[in-house]
Amino acid sequence: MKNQASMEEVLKELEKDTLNPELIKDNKYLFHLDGKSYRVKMPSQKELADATNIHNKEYVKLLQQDNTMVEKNLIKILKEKQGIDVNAMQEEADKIEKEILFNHIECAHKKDTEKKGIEKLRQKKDELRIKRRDIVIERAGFLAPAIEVRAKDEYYKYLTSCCTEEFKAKEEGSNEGDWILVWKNYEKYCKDNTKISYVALGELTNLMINI
Amino acid sequence: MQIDDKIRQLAKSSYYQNLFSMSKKCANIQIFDNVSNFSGLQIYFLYWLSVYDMLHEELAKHEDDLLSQNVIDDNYRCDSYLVYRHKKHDHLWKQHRREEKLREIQSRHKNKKNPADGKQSFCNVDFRREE
Repeated sequence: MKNQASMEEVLKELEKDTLNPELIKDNKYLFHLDGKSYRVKMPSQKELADATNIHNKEYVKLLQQDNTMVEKNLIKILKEKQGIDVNAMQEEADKIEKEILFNHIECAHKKDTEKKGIEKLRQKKDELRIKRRDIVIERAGFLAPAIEVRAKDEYYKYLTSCCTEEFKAKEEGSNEGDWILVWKNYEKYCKDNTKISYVALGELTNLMINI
Repeated sequence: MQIDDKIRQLAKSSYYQNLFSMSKKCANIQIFDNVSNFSGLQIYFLYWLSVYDMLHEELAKHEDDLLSQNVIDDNYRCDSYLVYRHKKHDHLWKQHRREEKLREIQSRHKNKKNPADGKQSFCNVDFRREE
């Protein structure tokens, strides 16, 4: 497909270093992609209610389909048939979290002059964080086919479709213009396989709470 | 820079710290353009705004020797201080230290072999009768 987004491209766009008060000035988040300006806005109560409806519809639809399962059953099947213990992965992640906690307490007792000791601890903490992150990502990958996760995906996709706007200048190069919805409806969003649909989804989850 | 680092950098900037401390005295000061339906980022920003305000106050009062301007400036050390502050009286930390001490003693004695029979001992004094 001509303009299909790669995961690498999307992550690069989300990690671009731009420090400015635009992040918190209002409840919208401005970002730029391929020379165009976009923004995601906080959903209204009506949009949140519609998204919940979409989520519930998807949940019930998936429940009635063959070869779908809820998270609890998926965890059981993964363990019994594939020998993948998702709960043990969670326990491992929690254990690392505890280690990070002790690392912080040890660091807190270091004086400003103990630079080497602080750097050693910082390095150890970074290693632990990466180790934990990898476990969490791997676990999430195993649980992605679960009905709950797929229904939640639809929830955020719907909100992205109705909260992403593009700036259309009145004249080329002009600062005057209007913010117009990128997708006319949810169906148009679902059919769009370009970078903007993925980047906007990431920015919306950031804006809403996902920190 | 991650998005949470960006938010923290904004929250600890003197501009927003001054604005925040003034807003406590003067109700008319508004930090955001919107007054309702705050985004997750804005709520996160408000959280760090009040945390840095509290830390600066504690630093000014010299409440804890472990808190310094360098600690506030460094996100990792600042997180560490906040964990320590929260756990100050937590027995979990004391227990961890006890276990660590025990492990240290055990490993010290593991390496120390008894010259009499070659077996390891946890005790420095040998009470066995000489033959």
